[in-house]
Amino acid sequence: MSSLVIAGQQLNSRLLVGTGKYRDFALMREAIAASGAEVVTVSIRRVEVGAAGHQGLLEALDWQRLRVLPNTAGARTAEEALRLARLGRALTGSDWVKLEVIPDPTYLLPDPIDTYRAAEVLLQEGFVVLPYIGPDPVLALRLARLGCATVMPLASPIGSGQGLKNRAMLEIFAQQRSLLPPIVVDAGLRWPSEAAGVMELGADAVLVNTAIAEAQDPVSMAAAFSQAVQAGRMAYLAGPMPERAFASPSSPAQGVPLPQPETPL
Amino acid sequence: MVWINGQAVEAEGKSLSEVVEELCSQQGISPDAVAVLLNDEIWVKGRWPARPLAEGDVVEIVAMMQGG
Repeated sequence: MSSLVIAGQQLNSRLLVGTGKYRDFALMREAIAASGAEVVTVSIRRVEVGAAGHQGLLEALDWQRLRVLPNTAGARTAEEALRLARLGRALTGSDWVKLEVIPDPTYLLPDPIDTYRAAEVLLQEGFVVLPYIGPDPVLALRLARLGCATVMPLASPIGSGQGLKNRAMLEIFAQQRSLLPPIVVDAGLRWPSEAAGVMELGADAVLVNTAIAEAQDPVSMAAAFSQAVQAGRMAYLAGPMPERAFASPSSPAQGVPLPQPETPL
Repeated sequence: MVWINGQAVEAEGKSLSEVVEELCSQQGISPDAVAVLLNDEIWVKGRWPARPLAEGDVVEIVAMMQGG
């Protein structure tokens, strides 16, 4: 099965995962290992007395094996995203950035105009930009032309667990995949079957955080997502059977050992 | 007053290195694990500017945190 390539980097896993919302680092570490993911997202936050989360995150994960993807979560404007992206690069040493520009706290929907503006500047500054976007295929094409390394359309609002609400639009993404960088479906998934579903459509990868971290058993759920993403990818490559309006028997229609001669009913 | 992570602190005259090390030791993290914005200029990995902090300086000390 072919590998995912983002900005020239070959990745063996088509599942990317977040590090947020875990009860503790030990569980996070185990779940990330079970997911098989190589790319993990982190946020950039103030070091504050008593704040949970940053204590030891650097030490909690094996950064020799994992590729860190700092995000710009918390940015409400392009300018704020630039500030977070630059800090993320300084902190992690990675040029990769998951660009999030989110002015709306209720639905956490990304601002397409400021996302585009920020992407333009970050690309000029040598960043590898992975923009989080609404399910807008036109915006995706514009960001592709700009030189973004992926497009990351949302399946439904972040952390909502509403699943594949934007299926119809993601189908258009998949139909345009020859014009796009890797399509990484991000946000809103709840079940591994939904991840398999977007992979079957032709998405290149899936990014999952809450569905794993808030599962009752995050480690098992991480493994389930891993298998689902692989199954969906294999199914996409295998190609589905044609759909028919009527049933088509799987067993031969001839040679049924019914009493002979058959009598009409 | 110096603004450190959004709070007004009496830190004029202290070096950035002192401020960072103080906060990092409170949090039990390495100063190498943080980046600092001093008046919108980025400093990292222990390579802090030598000048003492002055009235009105704005300092942001950040680290990697869990996120999606």
